[in-house]
Parts: sequence; structure tokens; C-alpha cells
Amino acid sequence: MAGKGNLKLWVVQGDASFAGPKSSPRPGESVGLFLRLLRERAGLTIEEAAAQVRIRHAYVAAIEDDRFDVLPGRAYAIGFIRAYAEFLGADVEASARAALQDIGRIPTPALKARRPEIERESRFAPVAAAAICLALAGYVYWYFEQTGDRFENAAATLARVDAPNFIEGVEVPGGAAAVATAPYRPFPDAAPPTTRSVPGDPALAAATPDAAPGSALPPARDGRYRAADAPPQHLLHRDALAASLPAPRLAAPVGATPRWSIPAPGPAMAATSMDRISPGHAAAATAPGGYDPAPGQVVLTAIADTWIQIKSDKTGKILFSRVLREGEVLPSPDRQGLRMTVGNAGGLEIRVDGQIAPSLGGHGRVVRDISLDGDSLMAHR
Amino acid sequence: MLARLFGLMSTDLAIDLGTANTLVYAPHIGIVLNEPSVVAMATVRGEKKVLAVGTEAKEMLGKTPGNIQAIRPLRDGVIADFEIAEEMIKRFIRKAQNRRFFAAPRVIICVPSGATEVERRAIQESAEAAGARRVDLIEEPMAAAIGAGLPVTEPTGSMVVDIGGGTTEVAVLALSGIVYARSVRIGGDAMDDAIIASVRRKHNLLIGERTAERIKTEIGSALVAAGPEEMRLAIRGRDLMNGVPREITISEGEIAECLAEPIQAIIDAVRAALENTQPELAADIVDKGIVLTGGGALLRNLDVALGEATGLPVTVAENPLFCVVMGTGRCLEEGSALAGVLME
Repeated sequence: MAGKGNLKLWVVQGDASFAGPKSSPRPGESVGLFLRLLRERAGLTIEEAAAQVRIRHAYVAAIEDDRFDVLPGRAYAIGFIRAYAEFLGADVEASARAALQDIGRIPTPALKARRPEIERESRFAPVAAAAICLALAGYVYWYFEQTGDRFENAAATLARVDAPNFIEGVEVPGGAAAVATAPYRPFPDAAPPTTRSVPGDPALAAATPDAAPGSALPPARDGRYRAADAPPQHLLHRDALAASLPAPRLAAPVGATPRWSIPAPGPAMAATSMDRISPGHAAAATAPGGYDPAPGQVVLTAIADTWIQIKSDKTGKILFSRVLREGEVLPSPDRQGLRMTVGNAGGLEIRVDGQIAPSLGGHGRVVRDISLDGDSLMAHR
Repeated sequence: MLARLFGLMSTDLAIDLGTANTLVYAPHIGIVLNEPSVVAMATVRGEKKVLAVGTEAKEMLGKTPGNIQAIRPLRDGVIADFEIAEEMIKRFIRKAQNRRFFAAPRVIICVPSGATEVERRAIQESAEAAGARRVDLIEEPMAAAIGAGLPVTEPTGSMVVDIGGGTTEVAVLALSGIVYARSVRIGGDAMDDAIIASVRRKHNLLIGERTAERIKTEIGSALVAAGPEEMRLAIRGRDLMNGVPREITISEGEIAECLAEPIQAIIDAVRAALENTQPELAADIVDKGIVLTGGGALLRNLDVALGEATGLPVTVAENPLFCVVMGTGRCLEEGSALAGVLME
């Protein structure tokens, strides 16, 4: 179908006027000006040239003025310059290269395909996402609240423990103070157990008169020891005490930080206590631990290792929670409305007013939520 | 969300699955593979196995012993041999990803606009079978126009003529869609065939596809340049009369003459497209002209011939061979911005 006639029509007419070596723009020379000079040398107007090269004359004029941004786009600009340079017999590649610096500034068109907005059929996903976020936030809040509680409890326990007597909320009568002070009483008359605690020590001398008149054991008016009754901490010579008291467990409660629970006295301790405690108090010291409980006071003694938790019924706060080692004595806080859970009911001996209360259960039995009230403990069957 | 996660764990690929060459583009890297679409199959104990793919296989084309077959699994822009095409895509994807990824790649492949539904599915399915996680298709002229840098998403008409190995796509594009497209199954291969037929007829010499292609790229021209400096090329083939190998010299003019027929078919397709273009878009096209892409655009004087025939300015795109794959790659890179140009 493509006849030879057609072919002949396509034969490029070699233009004699452009013959000769192909010229190219010098480096730095304007491509537009270079092409314009070539066109003028050929004696063509812009219109004539545009018609022959089949590019709109506005674009040809733009090329000659180096206004490449007027051309319809980067892709076309290069094509037009090449076509025009070829038509004028210039070096096509050199012209295109020279123009490329300017064309390079024309950005490739940013393409953004328009699409109809599709409405979401379901709003489930964002709602679900929000719900999950809320649940997570809630959990995190709850978790920290819980942990915070635990920290507070621990801090409170420590605070209580640090005080010689239990000042805040949980007051334990006698207890630590009694045992702690016991060894100090004989200081004026007995030889100090170590060389470090010298009776002549001014600090001790100052302290002993305070302690001697009866602050050591005689209860205060309300039958409890106030914090002030305990010997000043700076006067407690821990090393000296440790040396004088063979039972290692005793060292801790006797030291600067008496514990809430006091170990049962070893034989040496018992002897010390018995020897040095005034007779009136020695009778009361039949209670474990060698101190006299307040009236109605509940004293827990671990016969075997047993876990105990004491809770305030009203606030639900845990006041005490740990394993009582065999022989440890825990005078219960003198407070109403306390409840206790015992992990090993058979391992706990309960005394109310020095009287042994009926056992809560056998070995290994867990007893929950027992009231720490003396009467109900005595009545417990 | 899962798709995004997989996206992080794999490299996505844009593939120009052409009749002559397959190009693979990796986002933010560039063209990572450019090889002929040829597969060499060897028969081992009655079973056909892939021996070589790409350049290596192309060198075997027409020189194979009995147990080896060098096959081009694509003809006219579409898959002719499903299984071999699948093997080829699989190997090309593996080659393009130089390291193993956890997830399979998402792939965009271009298809001729004239491909039938069945042919499209064939391409999609063989890519899926080759290990793609998701296969999107884009029409070749759209990819070519994006790759050439035409403003296809604007409300202005652009005309692109993509001359590939198997097909020539003529399309008018505007607003990220194809307003008119015409695909003719004439491309570089048809030109090679025309050269083979012409040499056989005129010189009684049988030449192979590779020789024909060499003639086309070295001295092929759409127009005969008048003047004494006509290019000539020595070619070798088998004499049909006595069956002896022979060397002859052919001229540029001869080749231009035999290429006239396929070129006329391309011109006809362009004319038909122009006739079917709405006047507003035609006005834009008169203003800006036609952009030529594809390997066929490299044929000398083709732009001049097309310009003569249509009276429009004709521009050859920068790097016409890579326009389609670059355009496909840009769709992959720009993701949602160009999602509208992908095929439904």
C-alpha cells in the first residue's frame, strides 16, 4: 500500500544553503541567538521557518529568545529545539546539550491523578482503633495506680519500721522499744559489754538518766510507748550491742532500725532480759518476746514459717504482708477492724493477753480474713 | 496495614514486559535489568528445562542444536507461551532483586492497550505464578507518556506513539486516562521480518532475525536521504540457490524501501487516531505535536516521516527505550498519586 510515490515524497530535500560543516553553539553561547543567526543567514522569517519545521511560530520565537518555559513542557522543549536545529542545519546534539542547561530548570510535570472521593462505608475501623487506644490507656492507668499503691504501702511500712515505735496508724506497744532499751538499763551499774561503749561517754551519760528512771519498760500513761520514750538513735551503739547480744537476729531489732516483728529471744537474750528487767516487768515478760502486751493485745508468734497478711478492714490497705520466720513474734497493731490472712494456720500461735488462743487450723491450712480482735480470736473454734 | 508491612519487607518492581526486551525498574534505584525477552530451553531426559534467560539466551537464538530451543515467549506484545513466560519473569524478578526479601514483591507490569482480557489475565497470572505478591497492570501508552514526561494528568491532550518490538501503540491521553488508543501489531519485529523478506526476494539470501535487527539498527531509515553518502552494510547469510553461505552488501535506500510498508502501517494508525480525536484535544495536539517513544523511535528519520505525513511537530522522547519502564516505575514510586492511572 505504501507506493513508491509516497516514498519519494518523504525524501529529505538537501538544502544547499545549509551545506557545509554543521555549526554548533559555542560554550556559554545562547542557543536561541545561535539558531536565530542561522535562520537569518538562511534568509527566512520566523513564520517561514515555523511553517517548514511544523512548530507554531510562537514557540519558534520563544526558542530564539531562550524563553524555554513558554514551550509546552520539558519533553516537548527538547524535541522542538532538536527539530529546529536540524532544520537549520546546526549540530543537533550540541544545540540540544546547550539548551539542556536552561531546560533543566523546567520541572517535569508533577502528576496527580484525580480520583473521585470514595466515602467510607464503615466507620468501624477508626472507632475500633479509638476503643483499643482507650482500653490501653485505661489499663496503663490502672497498672500504675496499682503499682503506686504498692509503692506507697512499702514506703509506709518502711516509715513505720524506721520509727522505734509505730507512730503512724499502726502502733505496736512495747515491742522494739522494750527489747531495744533493755540492754541499756544496766549501763550505770553493770560493766559495759564492750570497750566502745564507755560509761563515761558524755552522750551515754546524758542518755542513761533519761532511760533509767523507767522509760525502758514502764508503759506510758496510755499503756504504750511513745516514740520519744525510745533511746535516741544516735546513742545506740550497734556494734556494742551486737557484741553483747549473741543472738544475731537480735542485733537488727536492737540496732538503729527496730523491726516491726521481733525475733524471739534466744537463751542469752532471755537471760539478759530476765536479769535486767525489773521484777514487776519480768512477770509480764512471760509473753513471747520478753515484753508485756497491753491489755487485749494480740501477739502472734510463728511456731513454723508462715505467711501473714494484715489488712485494714476499713481502708483495705495492707499493713503487713510477709513470711514470719519460725520464732518471730509479731505484736499486732493495736487497732480496731484489722483482718488477717494466714498461709500456714498451724504455724502460728496467737496469744491474747498472754493467753494462748485456740489454733486457727492445722499445718499448711490457709485461713483467710480472720478478725484480729482479741475476743473473737479467743472464741474462735 | 498488612500490605504496607509487606511493602517494607520487599522491593517492589516495575516491569516493562516487552516482545523484544524486558526492563525492570526498582524504585529509588533505577533500571536494574534490561535484557532480551528470550528463554533458552534444553530438553533433559524428555523434560524441558530452562538453560538460559535474557542476553545469554538471545545469543543462542537461531544457533541451537537439536536439544536446545531459544524461544521468545512474547509475540505481538502478549504472552504466546505461558509457561516459558512465567519462567522468564521468575528469573528476571530474582535477578532484579539482588538479595532475598522476606515478602514477595508487588509488581506493576505494562500491557498493550490492544491486549484482550484473556491476554491481560495471562500476563497477570504468569507474574503471580512467578512469585509476585500483587500484580497491577498499566497500559503501555500511559506508561510511555508518563516516562516521557508528558502532563497526562492535566486536562490537556497529549499524543504518544510507542513503537515497541511487537506492537505500536498510538494513544491520546488526558486527565490520567486514555481518550483514544489504537494498537497495531507492527513494531520492530515486523520491520525485521520485512528486511528478511526483502533480502530473500532481492538477493536470494536467507538471513536470520539477529542479522535483520543489526541491519535495521545500523542502516535502517524511514526516509532515503538523497545524496552520495549512502550508507552500506555487509551482511552474511545462506544463499537460497546453492545453499552456500554468502556475503552481500546492501544499501540504506534498499532498506528504507523495504521498511516503507511497516512504517506506512504506523502512519496509518497515527492518522486514524488523529481522525478520531475530539476537536479540543486535536487542538492541543496540533499545538504540541506527537511524542515518539519505544525502540522504534530510534529508527532514523522516523520523526521526519511522521511529521511529513501528519503535518504535526514530532518529538522523539529522551531515552525512548526506557520511557515505558520509567513511567511504570514512576507509578510505583508515587503510589497513590498515580494509582488512578493503573488499570482496574
